[in-house]
Amino acid sequence: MVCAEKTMGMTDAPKVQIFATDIDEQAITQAREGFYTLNDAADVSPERLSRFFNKEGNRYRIRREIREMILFANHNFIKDPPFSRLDLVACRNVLIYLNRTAQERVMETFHFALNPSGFLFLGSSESVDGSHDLYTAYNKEYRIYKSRSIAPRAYPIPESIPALRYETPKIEAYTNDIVPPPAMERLTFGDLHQQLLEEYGPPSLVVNEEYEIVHLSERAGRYLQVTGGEPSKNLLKLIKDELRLELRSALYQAVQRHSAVDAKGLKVNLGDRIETIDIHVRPVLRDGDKAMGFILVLFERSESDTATTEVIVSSDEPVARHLEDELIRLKAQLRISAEQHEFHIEELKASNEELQAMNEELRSAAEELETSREELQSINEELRTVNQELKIKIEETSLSSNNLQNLINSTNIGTIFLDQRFRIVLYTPAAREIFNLIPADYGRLLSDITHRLEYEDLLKDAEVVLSTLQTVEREVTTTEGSTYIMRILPYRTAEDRISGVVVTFNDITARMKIEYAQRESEEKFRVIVNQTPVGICGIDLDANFTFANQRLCQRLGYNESEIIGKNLEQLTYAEDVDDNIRLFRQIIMDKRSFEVEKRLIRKDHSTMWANISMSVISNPVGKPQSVLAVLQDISERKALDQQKEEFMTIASHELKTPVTSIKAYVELLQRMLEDTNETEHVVMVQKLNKQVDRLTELIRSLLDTTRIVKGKLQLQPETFDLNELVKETAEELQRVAPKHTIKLELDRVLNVFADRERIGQVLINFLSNAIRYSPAGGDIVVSSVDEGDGAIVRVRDFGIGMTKEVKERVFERFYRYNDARINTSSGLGLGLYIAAEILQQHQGAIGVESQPGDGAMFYFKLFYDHKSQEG
Amino acid sequence: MKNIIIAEDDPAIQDVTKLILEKAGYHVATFPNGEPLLKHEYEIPDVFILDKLLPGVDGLDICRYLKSKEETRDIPVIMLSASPNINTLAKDAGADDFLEKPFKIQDLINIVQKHC
Repeated sequence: MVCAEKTMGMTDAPKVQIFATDIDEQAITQAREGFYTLNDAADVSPERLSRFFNKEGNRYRIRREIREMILFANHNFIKDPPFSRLDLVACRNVLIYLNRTAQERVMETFHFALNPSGFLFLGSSESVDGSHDLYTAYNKEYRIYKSRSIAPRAYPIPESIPALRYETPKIEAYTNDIVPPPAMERLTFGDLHQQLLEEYGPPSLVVNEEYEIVHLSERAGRYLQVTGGEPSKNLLKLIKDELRLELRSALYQAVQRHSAVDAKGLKVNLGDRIETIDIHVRPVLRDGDKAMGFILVLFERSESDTATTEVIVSSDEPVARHLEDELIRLKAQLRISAEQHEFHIEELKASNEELQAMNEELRSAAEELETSREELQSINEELRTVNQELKIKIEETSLSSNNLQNLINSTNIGTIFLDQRFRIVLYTPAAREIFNLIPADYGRLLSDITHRLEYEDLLKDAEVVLSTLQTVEREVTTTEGSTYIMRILPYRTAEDRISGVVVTFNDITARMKIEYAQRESEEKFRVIVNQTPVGICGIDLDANFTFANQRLCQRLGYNESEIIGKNLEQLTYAEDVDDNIRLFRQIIMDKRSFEVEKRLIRKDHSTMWANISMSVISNPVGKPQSVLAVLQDISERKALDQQKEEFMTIASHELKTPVTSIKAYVELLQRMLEDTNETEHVVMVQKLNKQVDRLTELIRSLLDTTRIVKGKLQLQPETFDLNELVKETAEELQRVAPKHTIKLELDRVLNVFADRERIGQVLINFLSNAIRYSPAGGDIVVSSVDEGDGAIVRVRDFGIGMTKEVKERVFERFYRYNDARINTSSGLGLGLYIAAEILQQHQGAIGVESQPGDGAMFYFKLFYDHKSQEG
Repeated sequence: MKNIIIAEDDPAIQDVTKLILEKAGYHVATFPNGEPLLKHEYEIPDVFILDKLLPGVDGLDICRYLKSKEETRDIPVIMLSASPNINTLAKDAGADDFLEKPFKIQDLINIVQKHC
């Protein structure tokens, strides 16, 4: 993440490659996944979390850009060949688990792996102790070390044994010491400087701590000689014999004392002449110097060259000279034998070293191979993972491609994809209904394809779309009369690039037909609505008018714009509002039609009575949308009704007044006559009284009927014993029907809650009919039965009975049953009608069973309710 | 002898009821409307018989008036009417009883007997 942050925004950012290794395969696998738990992420700053991680469930996953910087590999840095040319090795808290030898080996491995001046980052309790020659401290506090850029010593050889073992070839002694001059190259000033120094400075060479020559100047070669045997880089072996002893001690002193040492006045035989030289040994002393540990050896020609030689030579004595000669000879002998010894040792050592070198070379090669194999392996693994991912991606792509293909085939929307030059890229089967397309047309210009559209500007539209990137939508027709909605849209790739246009054709022929039909039917509807003599209006669910036809507007005195938006409440009498709201809600809830007579307020505040039939209009899923109301102005009828009602009330009242006094006089007269024993007169007055009663009954029936029609038949319910009422009524009727025997078969029934007088009226009616339609006299059976949910009362006669047709009509208003056997001149045909109405008001039941010649059985039923139970 | 006051606008009914009740042994005073009852131009009887539909002030209102006065509060009032719903109307006005026209003379005698 730090690398990514640092390289971000750099113009020529270096490509960072990180190798992450472990010897635990499982750990590597986990690391490759790149998943971190919330706890792991707790130490990461929110900015980095959002930048480098994706949250997947309750885990974080490292982003691809970071993941791809890292190669994970199973690698044992002690055993396996190391990586190479690394800039930084971070190996923290591993070394502490290793012993010292292993640590040193690891240090050497890292030194090999690192580029010169590469960094090594160790744990806080670790150091490069024992390998200071390989590393210099860069930051001691954080344990960051820098690799020295010196020529490395022998690299550690991984312990893994190469599969193949080569037999070390014997290398021939190096005989040719002629070094070809370096090819002329373009010189830098540095090189030039170097060259000049070579020329004018004393010859010199650089050796390491092992006295192996690392570099030597051009002319230093003359002080060296290659001896027989294995060639060596060791200065002490290459230096001319005369100089070896002095040089050895000088080097030794220089290393031991850490100081510059000079050896002066040394003679050296250069073949043609003898030269006197001074040797200066200069070790690198400064701490931190890159060249620390290296030693410079300078060969300087001495000024007092020949003089001293002469002096030594001239001071000869004969005996001494002999002894000296002897000594010289012995010395020479000793030196020869010593040299021989040394030579043998050297030879052995050399051949050993040679072998070792060969071996090392091989190992190093093997190790490099191993390293690259490891790298290859980890790359291979990465590739495999990527391959797997790719495979999954391909499967997904193929699935979505299949899906897309099916979608294209199944959709009935003709679609053509065009590229930027309007060549056909793709089309759906439905598009063939408009364009004469065949599979070979892919890549052809759309303008080359014939079509059935009655529209020629398609390509112009497409150009517009391409230039403005605005969708074009048009209704187009084909020569066959089909109608399509044509849409032209820019084709956007995932990268939001426009690479053409998409043309779609949506067949709306059927829809258009429906639309026309709908328009026509709407027009018809509108005409009907406006021509009909009734008022029609639409009301929304909040009882606001949504439309009203002209007739309604006329009737109410408003114009259409005034009425729309008005609430039904504003046209309703204040005292009707509550009922109105309840009724309206009921209609919407029950979704049923409803008819009601209701008064509305006109604009001039007069009253309009209307018969309103309301129907709920539901949407296709049955949810109520609005209410349609048809209003019929019944104000006139209402006024007439009012008049009629008034007339009836007055008439019945006015009729009753004289009847009252007539009846009173008649009864009075009757009493007076009864006292005088004038029987004939009494009978006449009795008949008169009966006719007065009939007149009273007629007036009452008329008044009842009027009230029923107006819905004003009011009940005065009370709790009473039905059987008691039956008994009373039967007794009363028995008195006027001496030819008949009224029998009672009364079951125990519960008390009922009803209008006692009205129910009595029904019973009287039943019994009167029974008496009337059984002219021969006989039994009349009145029974009561408890049916659980209510009480039923039956009145059975054994008279003439009735046919089915009659049975169906007996409860109709003004229906009278004429039969020759019976004097039916009396009666208005209202009795049973009123009885039926009374039972209806009680929510009870009424009926008749009869066969011609077998009498009739009338019954009514009153249901119990909680009030009667309590009573 | 018990006193009865009858307020009835129809002369025939007024006449015949007076006749019936006198025959039954009552002393009857009649008024063609309710005015005298509102003006206290009468002797307090044992029973009032009031027609519902009287010219001027309605019989029900006279009943209410009588029932609101200290001296007549406890005197029984019988409402007389041709209206079928006289029972409720009479009850609402505070009347003690009612009789629907046309009536049997025995009913009239019974109802008067019941209240005095």
